[in-house]
Amino acid sequence: METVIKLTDISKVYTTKTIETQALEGINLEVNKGEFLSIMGPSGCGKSTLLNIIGLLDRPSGGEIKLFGKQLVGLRDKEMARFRNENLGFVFQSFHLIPTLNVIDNVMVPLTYRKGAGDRRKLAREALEKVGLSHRTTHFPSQLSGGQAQRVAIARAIVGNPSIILADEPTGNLDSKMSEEVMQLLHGLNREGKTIIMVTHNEAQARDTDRVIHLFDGHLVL
Amino acid sequence: MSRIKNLWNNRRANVWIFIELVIISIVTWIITDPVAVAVSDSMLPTGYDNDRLLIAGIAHLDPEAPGYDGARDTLSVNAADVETVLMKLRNHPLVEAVTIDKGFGLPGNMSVSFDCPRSGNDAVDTVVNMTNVFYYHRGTDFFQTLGIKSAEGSPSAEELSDMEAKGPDKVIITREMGELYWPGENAVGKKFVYNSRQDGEEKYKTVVGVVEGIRHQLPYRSYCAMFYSADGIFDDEPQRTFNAVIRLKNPANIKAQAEELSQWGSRELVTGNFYLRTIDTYNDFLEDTDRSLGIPNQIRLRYILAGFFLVNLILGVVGTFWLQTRKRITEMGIRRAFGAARRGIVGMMVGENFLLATAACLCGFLLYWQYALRNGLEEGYVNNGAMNVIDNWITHFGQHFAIVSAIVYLLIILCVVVGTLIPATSVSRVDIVDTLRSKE
Repeated sequence: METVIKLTDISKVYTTKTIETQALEGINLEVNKGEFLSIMGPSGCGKSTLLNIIGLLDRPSGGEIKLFGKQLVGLRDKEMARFRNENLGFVFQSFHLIPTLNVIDNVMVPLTYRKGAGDRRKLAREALEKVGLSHRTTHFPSQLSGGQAQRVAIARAIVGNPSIILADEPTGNLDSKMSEEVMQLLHGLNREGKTIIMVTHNEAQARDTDRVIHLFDGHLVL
Repeated sequence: MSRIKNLWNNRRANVWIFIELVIISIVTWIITDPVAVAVSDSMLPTGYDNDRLLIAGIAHLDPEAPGYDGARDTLSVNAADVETVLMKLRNHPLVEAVTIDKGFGLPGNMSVSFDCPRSGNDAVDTVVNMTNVFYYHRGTDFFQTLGIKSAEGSPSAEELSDMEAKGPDKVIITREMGELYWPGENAVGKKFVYNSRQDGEEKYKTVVGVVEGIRHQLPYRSYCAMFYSADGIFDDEPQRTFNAVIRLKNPANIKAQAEELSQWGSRELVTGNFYLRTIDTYNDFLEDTDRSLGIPNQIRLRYILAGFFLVNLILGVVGTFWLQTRKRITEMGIRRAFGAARRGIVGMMVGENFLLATAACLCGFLLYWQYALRNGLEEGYVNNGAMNVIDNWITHFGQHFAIVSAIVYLLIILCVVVGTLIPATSVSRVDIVDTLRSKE
C-alpha cells in the first residue's frame, strides 16, 4: 500500500509569556492511500492540532511531515498554499462557509486559487450534485440547515478533486439523522479512493472507519 | 471580475461604505480646492530674479546727527555722492548690476501704484483692472538688474532701461497686458486709451516696449504692469533715502553674500552724508511685505483649517477600512485553508477596496461636477472678479476640475490602501487555525 501521509516525531508546543503547553509530543503516524482513519480522544488531547498539522494549517514545533513523499516542513507560504489547494480538502465542525457568498460561490472558492481549473461553475455544480444540493446553488449559508451547510462544506472540500480529505468533527454540530447523511457521503468518497482522516468523539462512527487511533495528552495511545 | 463579484456579494456592508466615500469625496473636494489654488498661487514665478537680488537701504544723515557735514548737503554734491555710492556698489566683486529705487515701489511691494487703463480698440474694450505701475530711472540698468526680460518683438532689456517711456504718452507694458488688449499681436507701437471716458477727451498712450510679466504681490496672480521712465535721479527734490537693488553675480549663498556686503558697506559706502543703513535679501523684503498685509496668516489659517478637516477625514476613512478588513479575518482563514497565499489575500482585500473607493470617488466627483457647473470652482484672490488674472489651470474649468479631482482621488485612495494594507498584512500573518477560531 502506498503511504500518502508520514509523520515523524511531530511535536507542538504552545508558548505564552508565562506558560508552555505541550499539545503534541513524539507523534509518528503513517496513513495509506484510500484509508479512512479516525482520530479519537478526550477534549484537549491534541486531535484537532494533529489534524491541522497534517492539513498544513498549523506548523509543528518539531518533527517531519511528508505528504506523497514530499517533505513539507519549511516550505514557503505560496508553495504551501498551492499544495493545500491541489491535495487537501477540509471539512470543519462549524462548516466555515463564507456568509456573504451563496452556495455555488462558496463551493468555487478552492477553484479560485487554481490555474487552469476549467469551467469552475460546472465543477461546482457537479460537486453539489454529488452531495445532493444542486437545487440550492443560489441560497446563502444563513438559509441552510446544519446538515445542508455541512454538505456544502463537503462539496467545497471535494470540488478540486483532492486526494486527502481532513474532517474535524464533521458531525459535531448535527443531529443524528443529518450526521448519518454526512457520514454516508464521507464513506462514499472513501470508496471512490479518497484518503480521509476524521477527528470524532463518536465511537460508532469511528468503528465504521478502517482504523482508529487514540490520542491522550498529546501522545498516541495504541 | 472576482473582486467585483466579492464587492457585490458584500453589498450590504459595502453600500454604507460606498455612500460614506461619496460624501467624503465631495467634502474633500470642497476642502482641497481652495488649498490647491492657494498653493498653486504661492508657487507662481515672480517673473524677475528675486532669488539673486539684495536690497540696500541708503540714508542721508540728519543735520542733528553726529558726523553730519552741512557744507556737503547740497543738491549737486548729494547727487554726486549718490552716484559714488552706486559706483562703489557696481565695482564690488560680488555685484553684477545695481539700480536705484527712490521709493516708487518695487515689484512685489505693497506701495506699488495701481492703475486701470482701458483699451482703445472698440472690438476689445478691455479694462485692465489693477495694473501695477512702476517707475525706473533711465540709465540705471533697471530691467537687467531685476532680471525682467524683454518680450519677443520688443527692444532688449538694455535698450528699454535707457529708453524714454515717460508719461503721459509713452509706456512699457507686460506681455500679459498686451495679450489682453491685442491678443496674438505684437503690442509695440499700439495705442490704448489711458484716461476714462468720464474725463471727456480721450488720451492715448503708445506702447514703446513689452517685457515678460512680473506678478503682483501675493495673493494675486495678475501679471499686468506698466513701466514709466522717471527723470534723472536728482532732477527733482533732494532725496534723503533710497534703495539700491543689487544683482549678485552668483545666486548661491545669498545670505552670506548679504552679510559680507553689509560689513563691507558699513565702512566703504559712507560717502558724504550718505551711509548704508540695511542690506536684506529681496525675498526677505517680499516676505515682510506679505506679512505686513497679513497674507501669510490668511493662508496659514486656510491651511490649518483644511489640515484639521483632512486629518479627521483621513482618520475616518483609514479607520473604516481598517475595521472592515479586520472583520473579514475568518474569511481570510477559510480562503487560505483552501489555497489562497498570504499575498493573494492582501491583494484581494486591497483590490476590492480600491475598486470600491474608485467607484465612490467617480460618483462623488460627478455630483460635485454638477454643483460646480452652476456655482463655479475656487478662483483664489481675484479682487471680486475684477482682476485680470493669468491664464493657468485655475481659470480652465476642465483642467481645474481634473487636477483637484486627481489630488482628492489620490488622497482617498492612499487612505483606503493604508487602511486595508496594514490590517490585511497583519491578519495574513496570523496562523490559519487562529483566524478560523476568530470570533470577528
